[in-house]
Amino acid sequence: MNIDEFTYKVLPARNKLFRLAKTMLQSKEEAEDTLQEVFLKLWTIRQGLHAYKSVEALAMKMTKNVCLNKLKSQKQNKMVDVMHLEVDSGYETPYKKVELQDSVSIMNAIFDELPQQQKLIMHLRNVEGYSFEEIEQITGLSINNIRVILSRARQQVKENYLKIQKYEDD
Amino acid sequence: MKMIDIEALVEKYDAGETTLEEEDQLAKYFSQEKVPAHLEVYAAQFRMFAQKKEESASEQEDIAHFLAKVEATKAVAAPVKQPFQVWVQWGMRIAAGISLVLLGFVAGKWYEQTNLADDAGISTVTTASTNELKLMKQVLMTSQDESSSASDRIQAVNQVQQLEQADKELVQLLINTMNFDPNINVRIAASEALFQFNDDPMVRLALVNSLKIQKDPAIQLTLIDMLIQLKETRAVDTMRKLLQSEEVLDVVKTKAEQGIGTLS
Repeated sequence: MNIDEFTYKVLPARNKLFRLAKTMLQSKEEAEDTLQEVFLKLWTIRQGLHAYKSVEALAMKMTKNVCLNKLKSQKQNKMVDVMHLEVDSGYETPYKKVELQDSVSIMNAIFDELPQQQKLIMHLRNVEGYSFEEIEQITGLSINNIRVILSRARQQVKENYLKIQKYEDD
Repeated sequence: MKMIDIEALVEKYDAGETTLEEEDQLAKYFSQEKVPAHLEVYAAQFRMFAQKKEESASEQEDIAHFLAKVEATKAVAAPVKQPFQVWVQWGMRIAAGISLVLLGFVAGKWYEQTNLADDAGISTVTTASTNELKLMKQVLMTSQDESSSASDRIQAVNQVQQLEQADKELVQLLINTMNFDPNINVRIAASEALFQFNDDPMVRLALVNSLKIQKDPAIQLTLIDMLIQLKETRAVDTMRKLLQSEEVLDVVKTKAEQGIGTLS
């Protein structure tokens, strides 16, 4: 596989990979780092890419794994994420309040707080529009399992959203 | 789309049972401005998903360009070696090793030769450096003025013993030490050292003469032994004198008799 073929087959997935990484890592810079890492990995195994049914699914899988590794090492290094500190501190700045009044922003905050697996599945399904079979390929989970996780995620999101709204109405 | 359909779809959606097409329908429905309040939670979700879908990686440098660069650095870092090249490389290494060894030999030979030429009059020093030799001589020379200890001098003499050859100056020093050193042990050591160089006629003569001077039985015995070994007939007269002397111990006399018997 030469550069042209690689560009044609792998590069179109670029934005999808980026969105996945950003959803998981919640940082644009880290997501772009991940993207480059994944492309480099794909490039080194380019001779074997023909053997895969879907290069995109493979790339998504690799991105997911790289992200999980990064999250793991972040946890081990006890890196203090300034972004999270702000979200977790019960105090809301006026700026934050204004931001949260927008329903989409509220939803964004809720989504970011979901457990990693729920977030991943929900992202793959609702943002990228993957079928269950494709999600199965990427995550290695069974379809039934995926369904359960997805439904749990949707209910969780709904519940949290309604809670916040009720709090705001009071 | 009818309200009932949406309600039913939303329920299915929560259960995770909607198909992709149905989710598309929902997305389309919620993209409109006005939705009933109780469906706002879904509207927010689908708007968020739509927003996320729009996100894209910032335009970095062309990825193809980036990969080409990666390849280029790799090619520089590890050029593919031809088998022939590998052989030549190894050959060069081995040749360098062999030539180093040869150079060592040649240098050694050359050094030896120049040394011989330089010190034609003086014997070659093989086990002690010239510096050490000088030091030894100095120590031996100071035997008279007590500035060196007996053990220092014995050590110096022992070092001389390790030499294979000695120059005249050194032999003379040893002879002086053997005859006049205040310490008996140093004298014995010196005589033993001299015995090594018994090819030298001067040494032989010195041993013969020394027996006349020596008063101590220990060194007398050593000297007689040596002279017997050297088959030095010149010493017979001295031994006879020893026999007649009254100061000489019986042991020495017996030894001298034995010597006379062997030598004459």
